[in-house]
Amino acid sequence: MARDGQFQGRWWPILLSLPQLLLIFLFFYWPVVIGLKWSFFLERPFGGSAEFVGLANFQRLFQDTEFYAAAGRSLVFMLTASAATVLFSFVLAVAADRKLRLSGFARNVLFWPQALAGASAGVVLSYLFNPATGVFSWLNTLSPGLWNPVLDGFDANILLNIAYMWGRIPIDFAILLAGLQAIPESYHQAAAVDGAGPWRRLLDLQLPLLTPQIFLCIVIEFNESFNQAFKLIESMTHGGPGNSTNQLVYKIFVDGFRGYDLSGSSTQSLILMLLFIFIVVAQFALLERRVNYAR
Amino acid sequence: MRTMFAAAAAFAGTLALGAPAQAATNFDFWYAAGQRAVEAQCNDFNASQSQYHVNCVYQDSYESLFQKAIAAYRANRQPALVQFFDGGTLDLLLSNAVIPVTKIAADAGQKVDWNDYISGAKSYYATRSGELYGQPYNSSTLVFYTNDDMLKKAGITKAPETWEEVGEAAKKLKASGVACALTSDLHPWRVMEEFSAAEGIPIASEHNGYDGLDAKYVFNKGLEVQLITDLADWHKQGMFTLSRETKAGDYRNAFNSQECAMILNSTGGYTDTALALKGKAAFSVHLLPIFAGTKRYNTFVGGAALYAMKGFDAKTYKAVAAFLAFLRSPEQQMQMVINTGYLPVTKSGVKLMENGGLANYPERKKAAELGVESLNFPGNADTRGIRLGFFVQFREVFRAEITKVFSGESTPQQALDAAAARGDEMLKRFAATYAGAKMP
Repeated sequence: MARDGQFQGRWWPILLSLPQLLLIFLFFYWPVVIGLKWSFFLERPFGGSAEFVGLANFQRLFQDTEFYAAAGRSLVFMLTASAATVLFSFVLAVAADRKLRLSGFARNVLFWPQALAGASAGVVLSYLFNPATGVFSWLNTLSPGLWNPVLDGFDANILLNIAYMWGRIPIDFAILLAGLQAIPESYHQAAAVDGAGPWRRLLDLQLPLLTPQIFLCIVIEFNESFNQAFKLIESMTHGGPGNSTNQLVYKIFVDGFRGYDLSGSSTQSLILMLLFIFIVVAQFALLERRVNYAR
Repeated sequence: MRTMFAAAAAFAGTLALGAPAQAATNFDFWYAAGQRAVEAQCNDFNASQSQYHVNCVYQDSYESLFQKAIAAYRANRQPALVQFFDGGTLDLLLSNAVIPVTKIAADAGQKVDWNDYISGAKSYYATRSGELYGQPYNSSTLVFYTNDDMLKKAGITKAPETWEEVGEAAKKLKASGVACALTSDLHPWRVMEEFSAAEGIPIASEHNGYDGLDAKYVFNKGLEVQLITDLADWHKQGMFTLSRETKAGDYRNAFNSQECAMILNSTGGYTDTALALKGKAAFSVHLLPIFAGTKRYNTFVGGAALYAMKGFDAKTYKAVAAFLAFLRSPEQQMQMVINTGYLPVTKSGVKLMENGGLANYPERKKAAELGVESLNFPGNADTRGIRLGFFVQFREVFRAEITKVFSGESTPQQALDAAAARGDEMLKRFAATYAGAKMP
């Protein structure tokens, strides 16, 4: 052995990573290839002769107003849910970072929702926010119909955002808190000696030093909210009321698995993938330049 | 997304391995409705003879069964027999993946009088020439449930028969302090398909698609607009509640917990309601309301039929044929009625019901008789069934568009026009997908 912790030869590393590679190929690349093929054919649900139609599937999609609406809903949800989640997590992390009584306990409690599966959270929350019996039902005694997520698309989207935040705050909170605790105490002391109050220190010291963690949070939240809202939509709103929460990820599922429109569904997932690649690239191009990794 | 198909197929494959090893001819049967009742039938069949063994696998819901069956068929791991629901009929007829049950029976040397099936149940699953493709199995139809105690308290002595009377009853119920007079989930099966059948009006041209793949939706003209307009008005006046607005969150639970006084529900739900309201309140079931001054036609059969899938040898199909024959028997149909509230679907089954087959279940009999009566009203070319492509997807579209009426986003006409326009797009795409396919 030349060095500890290093495998010899060309085949060992490949052999050891083979199971993982195989899984990725089977469950990611192969489906992508099939989906790509189906996007250019009219595929029958039970198979059989599929007709090559060129770009007709894309043409049809680009004329479908519901497709644009669904993509728009996905983007809006991505922005609102990510922004709200990161902001709340930041506030909580800053609060928990201060040496207050019970902050150790609070750190633990705040992490609990992470342990709950998204679908279960959706079921619980849709009962919790039921217009007739839920926690917001008092709003309806003030003015009837003020809170009705089963009929009002705006309320349904608020509900979806709340549910998303509730499930996602723990992980962001943990990342940001770790970042805050990594800032040496001496920086705070030095700043305090220079006369900086808590607010000043937050803005000029903690925030700039926390940019790598904030960037990481934004990247994972963009990914998560854009692609993973599915379980919440399926368990809470089913895309309704009146399509108001029918995001692209959900529409793809409904078209393909409920409607058996395999080609339409594949075409949309291909576009979703391209759209998401674009978003990630844009994030790194625009945001990462402002991240300060040096400490 | 595609991975789900692969995973479903793999999972289905492991389930299939659960069959006990026997000398008998084994085959798999996937089903999704009436779990206890179907299980009982499977056990009875296996116990009744030793030549064949059916391995019954419960699949949670029609939708997921259909998904798994598609995945399994593509992976060549399909079961020999499946239960498929009404909405997917045309998808199956054109799938080239199933063998008509009439052929299965004939190949096995069985002589079956297929005309024994009551016409309302037969036409839905039959080809244009009247040959049954799937064997009608758990069959139901839509009826109108009333909580008679709540109606009486509101001063209503006779259950409403027309939509006009439903409106008056709802008004009186509301005045008597009932917060939820009428509720529905706006599923098109309840507020459009069965309604159109009972009124004898077409849902789509080409007689609901029976005469060709170039059908177009026409439900957005005529009585359907009136029905949705009425429901929307009643909703504004607090006389109609959407299923999800109820405390129970579901129209059936809302009725069974006496929160709501009137619902449209399948005859298949009768047993649940009877159990829930036993000793608490009197309820009854009635024919679907129609508009005053219109003629009543037969309603569609709802539920599911059994289809034999391609890809097996003659020996297996012989076993499938034996199982299908077992299920066709009036006695087994009666078992199904007793255990679920579904309807007998053959004339001999109905006869057995009338001649003491349900002697110990007088209430069940009342509901089943009503369902059969509803299916047996005279029909026309538009009440045979629905032969429209991507219809399962269309149901989602319909519901989404109609919900917009109740949030004030669309007028009934706008919503129905939008649903029809999007539906037409889907029909066009379906026709293109199956270009060259011959409609059986």
